[in-house]
Amino acid sequence: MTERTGDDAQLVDRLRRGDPRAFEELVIAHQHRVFGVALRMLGSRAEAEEAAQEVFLRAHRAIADFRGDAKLSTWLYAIASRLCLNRLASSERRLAREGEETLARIPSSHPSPADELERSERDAALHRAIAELSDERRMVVVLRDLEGLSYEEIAAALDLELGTVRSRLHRARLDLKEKLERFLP
Amino acid sequence: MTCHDAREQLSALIDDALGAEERSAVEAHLATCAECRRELQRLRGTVALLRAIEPVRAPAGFVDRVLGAARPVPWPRRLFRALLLPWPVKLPVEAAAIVLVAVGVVYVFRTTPELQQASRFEATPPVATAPREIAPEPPSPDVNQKAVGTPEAARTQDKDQGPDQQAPEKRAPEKKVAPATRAFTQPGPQTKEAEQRGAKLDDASRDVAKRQKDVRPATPAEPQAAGKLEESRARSSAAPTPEPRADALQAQRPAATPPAVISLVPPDVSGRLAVTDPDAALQSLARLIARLGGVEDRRFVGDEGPIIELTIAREAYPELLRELAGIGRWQVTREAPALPEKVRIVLRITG
Repeated sequence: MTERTGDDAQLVDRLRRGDPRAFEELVIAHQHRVFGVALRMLGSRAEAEEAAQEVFLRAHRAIADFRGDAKLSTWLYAIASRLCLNRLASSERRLAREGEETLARIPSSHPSPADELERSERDAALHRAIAELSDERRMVVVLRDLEGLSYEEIAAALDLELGTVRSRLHRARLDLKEKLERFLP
Repeated sequence: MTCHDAREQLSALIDDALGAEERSAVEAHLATCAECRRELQRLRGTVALLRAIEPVRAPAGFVDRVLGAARPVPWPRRLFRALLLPWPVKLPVEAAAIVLVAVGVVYVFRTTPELQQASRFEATPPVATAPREIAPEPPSPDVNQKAVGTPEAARTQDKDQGPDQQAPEKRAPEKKVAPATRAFTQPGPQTKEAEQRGAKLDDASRDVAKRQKDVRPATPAEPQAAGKLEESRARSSAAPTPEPRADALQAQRPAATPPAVISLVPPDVSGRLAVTDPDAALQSLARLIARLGGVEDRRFVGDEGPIIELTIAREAYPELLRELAGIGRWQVTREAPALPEKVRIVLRITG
């Protein structure tokens, strides 16, 4: 959410003109965000990469549909969240997830030293708690607390009312709070 | 404001997403409620934990892979992918392809006269199945019209059809012979002959011997039937093309007219000549053909008796019919609507 809309407009213009370099810039600028959402939602790095790639390909094909009144990043989050939720909703995927906590297995990006055992335990509990959220609540928490989107941006990306975003986020946080009680002050 | 109402707003308070009024109302409640303050603290702690999570980074090489995937794929690969991958999704396409091939096969079969002819032989009345010189009566007028009259064309047909063409012929005597005519057939040797059809030249000479044996039922009084057919051929040497000896014949004929070829060339006229003495009838016929300036193309033994294939000028055809009536009871089974200049006739002599 750092880029200015002026930069977006320029990039979008170049994308619409078919400038191959513009697409590369788009991917470079947004790869971590898109991949992050996909990983938090889908749980497996391989599946997340596949989904993130698909997000950019769809954006590439549909750049004409992009309305200049939103940020490019919000638009990409919208594509990513739809794609992830659709994948999660597919029956195959639901079966695969039964009794499985895929997100709990996401490795911490830092190997934990021995004296950080508690932190490691806390991180594991945190990831597990996130993974156990319903898909819809998890999506809102990921966009708000991990990706830093505003309520309005989340509402735009997920095509929800602002009030729905607010209550859904609150429910998600309450769920997490209950599960992380012992790590809280 | 109740505790419940206040707690509902705590997330928004943390995110600074409350309107001024809402915010002051919540803050006023918190000032008086220790339990809700504690709740707020725990919720802040939860959000802090979430925001402390290390941001995820896309794997190395991700950008290149995306750019590679976005590059236009050459159309053959695109087609291949579209049709075959991923297979669970494309299975209907594969099924459609199989159906398409099946339809194609049926179409080709229906539009290819040779194949049709091959299959119609299944339904043909029993005909002689001598391997090389056979000229069975065509199965139906329909086929006759489609079939090609020249040996060249016929040879091509033969090549194209191979065993398919021969197989039905081979089966025909076994399958379709009516009980009444079965008495005249000799299934044993004929079946063997059929198996040898299309074989080497050496086999062909054996065929001749067998064929000559086949003459016996028609000529019971003649024990040395082997020599007889040759004799009768010699007698018919009045024809413009003198018949060579059997051995020489075997050497020459396959080159000019390969075995199954002849069976594919439909005659213009075919019919049965019912006689009391087939032997005498053969002699009369040979003389008649010679007199009318015709050519006896070939002679062999069918299921019911000798079969003669001859060519005669169109002008002489009426005369031939008249004379045939004198030799036996002539019954036409097929006659082309328009006779060519040279009329090809297949004449089957029955006892």
